[in-house]
Amino acid sequence: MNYLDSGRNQMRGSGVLAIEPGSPPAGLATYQQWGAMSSQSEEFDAFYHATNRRLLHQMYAMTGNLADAQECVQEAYARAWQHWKTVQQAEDPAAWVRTVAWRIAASRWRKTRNGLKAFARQGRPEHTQPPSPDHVALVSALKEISEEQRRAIVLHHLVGMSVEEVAREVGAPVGTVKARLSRGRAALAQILREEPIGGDADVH
Amino acid sequence: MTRMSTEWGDLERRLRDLGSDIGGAPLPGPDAARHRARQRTRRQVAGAAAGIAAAAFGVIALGGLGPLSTSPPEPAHTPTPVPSPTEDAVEPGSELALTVEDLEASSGADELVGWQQVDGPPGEPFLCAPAPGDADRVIERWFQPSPDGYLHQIIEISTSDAAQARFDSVIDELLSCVEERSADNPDDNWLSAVWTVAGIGDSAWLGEYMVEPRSAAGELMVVQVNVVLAGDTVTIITRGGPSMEGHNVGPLPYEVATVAADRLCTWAGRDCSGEPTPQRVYPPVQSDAEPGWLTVDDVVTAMPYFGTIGEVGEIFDGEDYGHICMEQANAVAAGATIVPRRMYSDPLDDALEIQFSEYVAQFDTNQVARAHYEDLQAAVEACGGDVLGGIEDSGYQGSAWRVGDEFLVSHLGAVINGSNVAVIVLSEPSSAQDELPADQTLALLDRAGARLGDLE
Repeated sequence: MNYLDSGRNQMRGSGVLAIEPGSPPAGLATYQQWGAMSSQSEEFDAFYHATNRRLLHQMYAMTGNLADAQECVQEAYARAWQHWKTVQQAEDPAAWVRTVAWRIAASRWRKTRNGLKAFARQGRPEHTQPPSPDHVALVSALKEISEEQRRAIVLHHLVGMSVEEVAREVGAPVGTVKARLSRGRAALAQILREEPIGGDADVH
Repeated sequence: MTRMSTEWGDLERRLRDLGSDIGGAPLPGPDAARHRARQRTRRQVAGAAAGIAAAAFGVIALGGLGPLSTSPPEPAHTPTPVPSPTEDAVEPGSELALTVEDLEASSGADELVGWQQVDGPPGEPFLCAPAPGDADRVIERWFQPSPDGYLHQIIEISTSDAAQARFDSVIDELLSCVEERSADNPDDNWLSAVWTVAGIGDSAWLGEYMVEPRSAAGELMVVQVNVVLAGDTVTIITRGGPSMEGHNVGPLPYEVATVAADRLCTWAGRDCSGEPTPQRVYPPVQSDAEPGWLTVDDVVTAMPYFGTIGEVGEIFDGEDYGHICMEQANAVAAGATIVPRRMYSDPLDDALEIQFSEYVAQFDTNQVARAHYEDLQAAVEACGGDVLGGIEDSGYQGSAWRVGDEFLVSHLGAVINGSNVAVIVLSEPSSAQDELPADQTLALLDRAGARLGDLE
């Protein structure tokens, strides 16, 4: 299966796993059970490897913090495995993971009274290499717009979804998504104009 | 998928370029995801079997845990007797303390950060973090999940009276410290949440605060302190790290406290089962009633499926009902000035699994409201909504539907009372194990209809 080509119908029509000779693992009564589970694991592995980097990239843009994006995406994959039978039948399993990851991130922001303030003050993401000034400026600007605007912008301009697709994923009316895009882009443009590249003192 | 717009090509290029930042930060892989899922499943099963429930932010259950002696378990919710120091007392040992394995098994963070037991905090302790007291016996453990974070467990064993006093003083000192720092520098220090558990075991308390970094160039620290009074012991678990809540300390911070409690129970040979009643005491839960709107009591009573809902948001202005299936029935176009919205939430819902909003649209006349209500019905049914049922009273009338896709299952309800229309939108992930109960949605809609009468 090739999960890279399209987000659609990726999990259907799975192949058959060849079962090696030997006894099935404890707890699985038959080779059929073992085979089914192994096949599911292989499908999940393939799905994970094909999608994790772009989902991490997307969540990084949505959260503005690489460590938080890692945590939310990994947690979402864990939940996807818990519900794998459902998720693999979804029209777009990657979108399922992205939606859950977003919900986890949004929940964390809202948990604390000053969640947004905490979010805005997180500072730079954890990098093995320092981020470029351009990245710092963009991430800083993204942090200054509302979370829903940020989500709409990432889905539309990074994931490449149409406004209608964004509306469907976030469960909001098309008009609302258009408004979020419009206001978010205007705010981003203003912020990026006002701040020279790499000029945000809050992000080192 | 559609082509990205060329008008915003520069923004799109810059967003794509962010991908180069993740090169050195790979995810831990599918095996780790499965491991995390398995751990959660085990915990859920074990928690249900033992009756040990826990709430977000480290609220823990210690039902019926008496003093740490080998005497028979006390019934839940009964006062803990003062132990006799010479009567069947068991000398506590290191088996009481958390282990790396406990943390790996309970926190779900092992794939990302990796726990290590260490001799002390990496650098200075978190500001305002509790230090060991002068109890008869103190056990301490330090663990490090990341270069900048740590977990510190203190177990203090004395007498019940002394433990009670110590429990109170740890909390008082912590709150005073954070308050003082907040007074000096409110932008970098603040108390974010306080929880208690009433009616179970002895007492459990959790505070979460943000505090200045431990180094000049660092990020703010988020620190969670869980204090548990159990018979003649006080257990303090302090955990924290840079940036936002939960970051680098695991996604489910309460589970470490639960494991710590389990160890105490096991060591004492006590039955720790019990039903916790977690309650957030700070920020205070808002439940003030507004004329025409559902109250928290309405929601809790009509929809127990929600669990411990206790958050009611501000009423803020909007222009639509916020659901794609109601887009074709625009209340503003129909004559309402605005469509105010209020969100209700369960503060213990760790990932916004259930979302619930109410909208109230007011019109000039009953006829206009009726026409809009009928538009709403038509819009939802055109969207493929399955009818859940209807409600009818002398003053109001309503209908509810179910709509769903691969992401969300939603129950939508609309009710008209005179010249006012209320809409309720309840959503949960399609993968939820239980389905929103239709009868509870209708009960909630019924209350919404009754509340609208306040506006007439």
